[in-house]
Amino acid sequence: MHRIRIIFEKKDWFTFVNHMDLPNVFSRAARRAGLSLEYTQGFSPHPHMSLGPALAISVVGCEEPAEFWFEDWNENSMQLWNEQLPEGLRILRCAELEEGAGLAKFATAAQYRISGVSEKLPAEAKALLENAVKNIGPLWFSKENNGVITLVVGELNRCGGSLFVKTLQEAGIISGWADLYMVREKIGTWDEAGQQLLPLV
Amino acid sequence: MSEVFCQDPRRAILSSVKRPSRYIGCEYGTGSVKDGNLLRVCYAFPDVYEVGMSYLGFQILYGLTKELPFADAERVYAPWPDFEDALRNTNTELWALESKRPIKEFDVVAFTLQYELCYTNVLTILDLGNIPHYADERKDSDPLVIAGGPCALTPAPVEPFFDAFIIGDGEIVNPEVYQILFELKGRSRTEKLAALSKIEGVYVPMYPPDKPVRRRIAEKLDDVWFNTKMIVPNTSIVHDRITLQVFKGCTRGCRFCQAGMIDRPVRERSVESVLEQTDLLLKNTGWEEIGLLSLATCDWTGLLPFIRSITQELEKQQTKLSLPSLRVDAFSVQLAAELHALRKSGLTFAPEAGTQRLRNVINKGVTEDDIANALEQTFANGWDRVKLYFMMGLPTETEEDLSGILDICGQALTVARKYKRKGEISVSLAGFVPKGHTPFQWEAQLDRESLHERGSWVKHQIRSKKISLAYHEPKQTYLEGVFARGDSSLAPVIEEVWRRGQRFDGWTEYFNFDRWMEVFADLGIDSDKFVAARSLDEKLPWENIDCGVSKQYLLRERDNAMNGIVTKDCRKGCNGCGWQGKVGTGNCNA
Repeated sequence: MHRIRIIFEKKDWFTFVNHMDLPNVFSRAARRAGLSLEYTQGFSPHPHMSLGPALAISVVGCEEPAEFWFEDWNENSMQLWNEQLPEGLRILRCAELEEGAGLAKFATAAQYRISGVSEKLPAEAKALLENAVKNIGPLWFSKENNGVITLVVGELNRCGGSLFVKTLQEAGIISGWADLYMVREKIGTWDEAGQQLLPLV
Repeated sequence: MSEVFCQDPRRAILSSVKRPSRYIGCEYGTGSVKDGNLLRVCYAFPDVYEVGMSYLGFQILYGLTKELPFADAERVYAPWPDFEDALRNTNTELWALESKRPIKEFDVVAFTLQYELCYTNVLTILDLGNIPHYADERKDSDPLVIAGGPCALTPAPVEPFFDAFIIGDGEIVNPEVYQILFELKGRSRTEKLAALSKIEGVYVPMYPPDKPVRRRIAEKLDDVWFNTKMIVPNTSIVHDRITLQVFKGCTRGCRFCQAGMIDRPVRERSVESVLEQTDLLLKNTGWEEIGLLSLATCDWTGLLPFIRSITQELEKQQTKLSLPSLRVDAFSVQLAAELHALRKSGLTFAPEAGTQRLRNVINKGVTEDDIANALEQTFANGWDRVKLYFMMGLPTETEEDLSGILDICGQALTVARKYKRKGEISVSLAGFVPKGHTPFQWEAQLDRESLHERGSWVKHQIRSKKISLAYHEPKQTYLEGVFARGDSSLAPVIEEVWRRGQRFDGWTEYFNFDRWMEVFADLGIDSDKFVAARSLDEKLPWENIDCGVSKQYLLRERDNAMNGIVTKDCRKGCNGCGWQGKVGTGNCNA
């Protein structure tokens, strides 16, 4: 049995596929690739897997984590799997892990890049987003450059696309999701000493 | 890449609607969009993505069209009202899922008409594509708009909206249509349509034929093109599985069933062919479930050998096999019991009518013994639930027939108790809609008040909490009946009700009966006349289509119905339906 952690990207039109649909998309692709997924026991067996924190619809994911368990796995498997994925979804790298703590323990920080679609975000947007994040959980890093805001946040189940949209919408800066372009650039564990986001693979 | 996409105005539209993955394509199995001067066909399903993607016909025609060297295929589904609003507010043309081209840029927009209550959605798709609703308003630069599917056999109510109708199996007719349209690319609509009108199985309203257009069928299914790939959705759909058609046609001759009347003779696929296809589809789709499809899958002579050959492989691959509704008999239940995959859920049966007398009238070849045995086997084999399908408003129906439904439910409970099963019975009661090309095409449809009364009567007679019953909305049944046997005076009604905002009539949350009745009144159309009884010598609006069985046969079957005489399954000998002029026994290989 092989526990495989993958880092994948979700981009372009495919950002409109719901996070909850990804298990089926990945497992069907693995089946087409002839890979032997491990199935859960019980009355209704399904592939053994674990997804990272949900990524909101329309947000680009550059390095999203997930874990899958396989009966067999070798150096060619990732390529075979990639060949079967739909356009817009691609596995960038992977690693085999020992059994142990799950993904949720390590996928605790995310770096978001937030910008306006047709107009630059105004100066006050950064402070608004910072406050909104701090009300919920940790804000480890933030910067603004030419209307583009970068944030590293924790509490990922509550801190994401919806919060950013709601905050800027309430401040009258944007009218809704359509006005924002959001990218989740990285997910991992925040390294306080090194002031950096440690990747999961 | 993404920075460009960020600016795409369609991204903003998708960000504002529910379930945007309906509109993005990006599914595995579509193949890439071909370049070059090809005949571009956009398949259009007039209902929402999750419904349309479950339709096997488009999976077949899509793959077949992509394989033609001179053509390419794409798809579009009916936009849900929120997406429609977003397109209108931003003045954006409806796009095809694959290339994201506006559908107006295609050579052909090919609809399937699977049920009557989708007609307003056809107009939505055309309108959002900036294609005129009426065929005679389209210019040479507009696509040809064609339609196939069951409702194309009674096309009158929607005739003015289409340039041509495909009458019969698309696997056979469509490639011929596309070949000719490719050769005539760039020519005028009239030239193209004149050429199409000469193809057997194509009905072109602009060029009315001298004799009825005969429905064309695929004769030997093993030799007909079948799909070895499917488009695999990224989101769950209604029938989220591989679908395999194991035969066409049906030998049972149920008198209410249009499909069973018009699709003859029965044409089975060989076990080898279905096994080969199964193997390829499992490899090429990754789907976790396979469903067998036909009008009566338990009648497939290959069913047992197929299951025996495939079970081990399916278990190894963690794949389920599902059969739709089971034939009402002990054999079918025992078969289901052998399938581990079917163990989980309950079983579904369709006795259709509550008494033997009425089952004889409709020629549903199910006896009281069959029902008793099926129920016995169901609970003996450990199932807890059964789902039963019945109709109400069938010709000659009386209160006794409706009580018969309750008797069968009671019988099910008794058997369940005997085997100490939970015994949950769920009953679905559909209003009967007489359809064209059937022996009941002359019958009156039961009015909606009476349907309502009968449905409600049965529901209130139920004394056990273990029985649940739902009956179809009689207003929808009524409208279905109006369009099933309507004439071309209905097209302006569809257009007007659409203009007043009507969409998705098959969905209770959008169905607005009062609006329909207002439009009938405003346009001076008596909708009741279409569901009324017809005289036997009247010219019926669908007589321009020849479905294969003779009118004499339909009349004879009608007589038999009224006299309660059963017509045998035509596997047991020829009943002389006059199929496509082949009179007598043996000719149709049934």
